[in-house]
Amino acid sequence: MRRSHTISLFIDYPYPAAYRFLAEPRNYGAWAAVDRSSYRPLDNGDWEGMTAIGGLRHFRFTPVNDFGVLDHAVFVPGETPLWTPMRVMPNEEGTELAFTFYQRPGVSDEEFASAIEWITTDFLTLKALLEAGRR
Amino acid sequence: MLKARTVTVEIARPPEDVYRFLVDPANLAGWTLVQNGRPEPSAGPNSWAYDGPRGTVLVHFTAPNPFLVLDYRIQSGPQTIHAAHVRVIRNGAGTVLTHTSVQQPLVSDTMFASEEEWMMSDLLVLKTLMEG
Repeated sequence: MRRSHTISLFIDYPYPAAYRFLAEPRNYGAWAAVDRSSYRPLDNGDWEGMTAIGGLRHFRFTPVNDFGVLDHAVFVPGETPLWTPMRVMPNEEGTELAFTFYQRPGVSDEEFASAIEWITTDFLTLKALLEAGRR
Repeated sequence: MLKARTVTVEIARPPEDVYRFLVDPANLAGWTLVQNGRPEPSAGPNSWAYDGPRGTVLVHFTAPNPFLVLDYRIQSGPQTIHAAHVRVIRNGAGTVLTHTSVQQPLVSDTMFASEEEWMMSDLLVLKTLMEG
């Protein structure tokens, strides 16, 4: 079993709207580390875009559901999608977000720790974006 | 905003096995302090009653689903005393279980912290049971 790390954070933004925003693949480019000008939908329902660290990647998203599940896969075109679990949950007038990140084979502890910092930055961007929209 | 806390437990069993076990309310008595589970259809389609250490509790579960989500809410009398979002996710051939408790309005900080310790110990019992 791979080592895993779960990030959780509170977002001061209503859950239904937070889920609606995050479930729309188009909005992924607004907060994740993907180059917005290259981010576009593909014919098979996946999306593609340039990432800062890994070059071109494809993205696949979980269909809209009643559970706030927002799993998505980021992968090199043609390779097996690696799904990363993500979920939002209601907390009174706000939203809790949980994201689990796996340490892949060949990734050192230092690289894993660094990746967690990058991802945490993405989520803080998302939090700031949504909370700014509330005001 | 209510205080929330997420804990995770890794279980060396496939997520489908863990979910199949957890999604049956009868199995809750196998790894927590509640006993004698029985369906309570008058309280909801996925609601069960149990004998707990401090009297009868009602537990409202999320219906089984393909996302392996297992949210629940525990009610004692008219009051919700505990609510949590649970998910079973795949990690290779094993499972990561994430459990997010949301502190309920009438639960004190001290009680919430204590409950979370009990929760972690329950989840470790579950892990042992599933891996055994």
